[in-house]
Amino acid sequence: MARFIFIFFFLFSNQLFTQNIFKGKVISSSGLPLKGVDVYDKDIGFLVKSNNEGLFNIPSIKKSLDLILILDGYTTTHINIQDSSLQIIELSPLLISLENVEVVVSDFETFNIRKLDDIEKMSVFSGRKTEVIKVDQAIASLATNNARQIYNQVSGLNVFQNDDAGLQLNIGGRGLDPNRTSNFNTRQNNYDISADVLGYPESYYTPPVEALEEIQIIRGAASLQYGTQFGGLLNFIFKEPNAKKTVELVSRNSIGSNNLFTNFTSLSGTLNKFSYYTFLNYKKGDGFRPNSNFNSINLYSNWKFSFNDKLEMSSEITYMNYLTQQPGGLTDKMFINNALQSNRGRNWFEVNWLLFNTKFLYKLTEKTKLSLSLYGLDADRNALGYRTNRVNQEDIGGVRDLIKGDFRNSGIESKVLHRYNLFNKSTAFVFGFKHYKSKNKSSQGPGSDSSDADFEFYSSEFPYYKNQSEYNFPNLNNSFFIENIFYLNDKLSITPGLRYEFIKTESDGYYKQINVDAADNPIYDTIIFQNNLNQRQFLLAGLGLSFKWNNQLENYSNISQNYRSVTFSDISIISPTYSVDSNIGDEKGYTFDFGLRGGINNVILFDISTFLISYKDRIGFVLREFDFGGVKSVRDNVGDAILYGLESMIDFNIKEFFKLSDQHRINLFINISNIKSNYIKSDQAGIKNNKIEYVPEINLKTGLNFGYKRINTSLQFSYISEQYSDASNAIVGNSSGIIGLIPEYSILDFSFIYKFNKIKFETGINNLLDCVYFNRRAVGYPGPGIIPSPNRNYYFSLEIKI
Amino acid sequence: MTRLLILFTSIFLLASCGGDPNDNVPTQSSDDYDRSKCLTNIYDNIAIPAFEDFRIKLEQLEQSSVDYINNPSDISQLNNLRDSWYGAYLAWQHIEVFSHYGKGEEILYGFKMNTYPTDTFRTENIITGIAQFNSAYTDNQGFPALEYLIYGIGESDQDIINNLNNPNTLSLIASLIAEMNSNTSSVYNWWIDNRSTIVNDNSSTASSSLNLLINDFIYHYEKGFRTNKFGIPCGYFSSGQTFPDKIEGYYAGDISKSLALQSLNSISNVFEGLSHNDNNIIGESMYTYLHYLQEGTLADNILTKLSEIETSINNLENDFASQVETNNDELLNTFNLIQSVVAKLKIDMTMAMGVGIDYISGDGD
Repeated sequence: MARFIFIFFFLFSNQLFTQNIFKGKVISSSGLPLKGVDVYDKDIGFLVKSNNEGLFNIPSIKKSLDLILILDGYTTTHINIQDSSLQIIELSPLLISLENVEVVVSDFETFNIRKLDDIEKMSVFSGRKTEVIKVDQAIASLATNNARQIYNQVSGLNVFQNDDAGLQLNIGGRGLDPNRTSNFNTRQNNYDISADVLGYPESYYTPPVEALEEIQIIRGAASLQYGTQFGGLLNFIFKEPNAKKTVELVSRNSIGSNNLFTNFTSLSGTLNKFSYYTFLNYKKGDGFRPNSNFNSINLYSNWKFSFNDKLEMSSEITYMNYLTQQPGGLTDKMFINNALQSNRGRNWFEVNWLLFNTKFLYKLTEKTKLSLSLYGLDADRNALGYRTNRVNQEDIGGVRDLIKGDFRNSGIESKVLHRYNLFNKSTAFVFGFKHYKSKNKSSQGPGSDSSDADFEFYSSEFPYYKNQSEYNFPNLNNSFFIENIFYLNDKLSITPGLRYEFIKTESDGYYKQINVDAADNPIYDTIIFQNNLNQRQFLLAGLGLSFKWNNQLENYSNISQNYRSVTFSDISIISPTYSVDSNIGDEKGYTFDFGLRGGINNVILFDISTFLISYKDRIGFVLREFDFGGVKSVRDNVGDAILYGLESMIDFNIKEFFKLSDQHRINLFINISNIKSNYIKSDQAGIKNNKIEYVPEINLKTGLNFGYKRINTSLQFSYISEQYSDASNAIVGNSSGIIGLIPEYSILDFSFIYKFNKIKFETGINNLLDCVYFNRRAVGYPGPGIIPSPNRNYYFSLEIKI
Repeated sequence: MTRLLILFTSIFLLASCGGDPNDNVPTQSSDDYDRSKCLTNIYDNIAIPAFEDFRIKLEQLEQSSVDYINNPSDISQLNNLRDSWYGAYLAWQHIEVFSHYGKGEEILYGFKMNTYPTDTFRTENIITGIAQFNSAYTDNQGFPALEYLIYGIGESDQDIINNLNNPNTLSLIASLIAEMNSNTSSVYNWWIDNRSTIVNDNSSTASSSLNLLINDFIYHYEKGFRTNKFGIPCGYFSSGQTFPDKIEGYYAGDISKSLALQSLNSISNVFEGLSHNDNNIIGESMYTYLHYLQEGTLADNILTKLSEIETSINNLENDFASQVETNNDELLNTFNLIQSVVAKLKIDMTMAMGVGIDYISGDGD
């Protein structure tokens, strides 16, 4: 690694070009700064967006620049800049709305994806692999949150495709487990939304994409400013309030296969210093298998108040509730016979999610900004069902297993972004802290023997039910972080960072030990109390490098330490056959990226990079001998693994290449990743040198977006190569379907949008070829067993914007 | 442009839904040991001969039951049925070690044949006509349920004859034996039909033949042999509270020791690779596999322990229930001796062979 950095410096540090910085400020006719203005170079294409103060900077080796400034609702303005003095550019509002213009220009942008700028909002991103999905550009099944389509230009994502209408998001990057997106630090508008960031990083709630402006993804190197997860940061950015109207209503209604109905209605607007965005999202459907109906409601409200130019406050509240029936898993044999069958009619899952957030944004000076975010979560998830490992066995009734989780947490996160000059170079640092406290509870016991969604314990009816436990999990986390961009010259920047973590993970509770005879009659029962305190502190370091060859081409590289905290389930004993090693610790490692990204004259946009994840001290079970010859499964840090690969995303703007008129939009993208993985050490039998589960070597998504006038279509092909589902790399499925190969699969998706004035019509077919496939073998909930993916399905959406 | 479109279209045309997992050749195991040799020996020389033997005994049991049902007041026919039942029960001890493998696992074969203590309450309800025989209840069928009928439903033989002699009871006997027969046939046929799949699998993944077989072997040793036959009656899992009525063969009386010895014999055969029909013929097995892996000391150690266990069982009373009541410490000693092998099999042997344990013991030890 050291040698590599040396080469990097050696190659680039001497190359000093004289470079000009062109500066501009975009204002409205009333003199207010305009943010988010797209600044295009006439020759090169998109360069930057103006920031909150309407400012933009463009470093260039050219003597003068021809720029085009575009902002929705304003006339497109051309300007020629000759020198480095600050240019004030005024955009006049568009008097005639675009819809009335004779020639309909495709209102889609050139590319669907962008990277984050070196410094954006309150964060420093220089030298990081970042991917931002512009949601309003997606031609996809938005009503069902179809992750395969929406995330199609994000490299190497593995998506579990079993959830109706996208109630849960299951994505994993770079060969990390997709289950409930738990390997990402998941946030919305920059604050945490998962059940517990460290102890239970599962995302049971993710916002509907219909409400989103952007989805930001920063890979492993996000660890310093955000979370510490190996997967990196996944941040959902909601739409901004409409700045030009007092009330804007967007109503979207969708219907689809299997009685799918969804409604999304949002209101947004601005009234002087007050602005708001609020929506309601309702979803229901029968699911593509028997026993899989669902019903969900999601409410969101955001109010923003600008006290003056310097201080802005916003508050938001999110509520989600859903109830789904779980059709259970299948064995390989059942899957082959009928992939969509279900033999579980009494399994239910329920989620209640309530999130609060209040944010202050204070501009101390032109160069210093401060943000303070207070947030909280009050949530629960309940899983009820008959979940035997004998997947093919009919459910003959009787007691059901009930697991309830209650999550309560609150946090404060504050950041300071300060720009300053160092050796005549403009630079910036970001400094911040986070205080996070949670009090969670998990309990397991007997559920009712009927078949309805009754999430109450029936302990007195079934006192000898085998799995009974109850735990409290208090958790405390304090962290500080700092990152600074240093521009060594006009091309090369280096961004070192540090993060300090203090973590206290506790578990306190009991489990019942109930011994039975061979015919399951109880012969002994007792309660065993357990508590566990795991307190530690450590420092994480990271370094980012960026070399900008010119405005179009950038080499980037970074290395950052990551860790995955021990989770609550890692440290609690819920059954007497398990034990936890007293020295169990966090999973640690680092992420390394090296890549080249940029564009060629608005014809090609690309990001090609390699990565390496060193994942040490992975937690798993090993068998150990206890007193009197007994053998127990002990949870401990049992092995090391590495993941490495190539991620390549290339988007060709065919329209530009063939110089077609602006009424056209033709893009071809190829997003391919090749990932290898390996267990390099393991205390478990038969694991060493095996591949990691759920890592497809080839992950290809390619598609053609074609637009003409008011019509936009997309045709997308996805290919995922075979994956193992267990660390022994079993190929043949076992009797429960939990382990075995996940065969390769290819899926074709088609989407169509027609937009006319205030009405938008969307339709599409997912899984066009009606492939029968699965990409998940669940160990427990929502299976166990093979969880099949949807067959061919269609959707129609109608959007009206007033 | 045209070229790009052609390229693109061809990608789509190549699109097919997905592969077939069976296309894949199983990977080789981590060591070079020929696992299929070991599987062949266990299959050809131990499992199949044991099944064939057992099927003959089951036929005899069925014949005796028909004879008895035709002469329900004939005490000699009852004794004849009891003898056939006992003969089949002894033969079953050589099947149980394979009963959780493949088809057996799928249909709960082992649990349906030999779950004890049997649910006498439900049996009584069937006799009185309140309930019907239902093969979903594992503790209401197999050898123990039949044993209760032919030994346990009366104080004296005459009482038993009298109690048995009603249509519900006689038809229950027939139903129990029919269920045992049909389950055995379905498992046996599966073994016969799948010989090449079972035997030719040289891989070492969690779903490979030898991994599954070794898991089932250790599971049987731990649960069927150690816990059920010794651990539960001697009170090891109930903080000292003993359960003489939970022994195997409780109603028949003095057969628990013989059944346990047969069971141990079958365990030794499988571990050491001894032919079912002739214990002098030795083939590839876990024992030779361990030697191949330079773990000869461990292999020999396990063998020594198994023979110590045999001696210890031989010193027990014929009827474990009586042993529990007179001198339970002896039974506890035997249990501890059996227990001392669990870690050797479950940790040392599986680590050496790279076999992950795929079950949870669930008995809280």
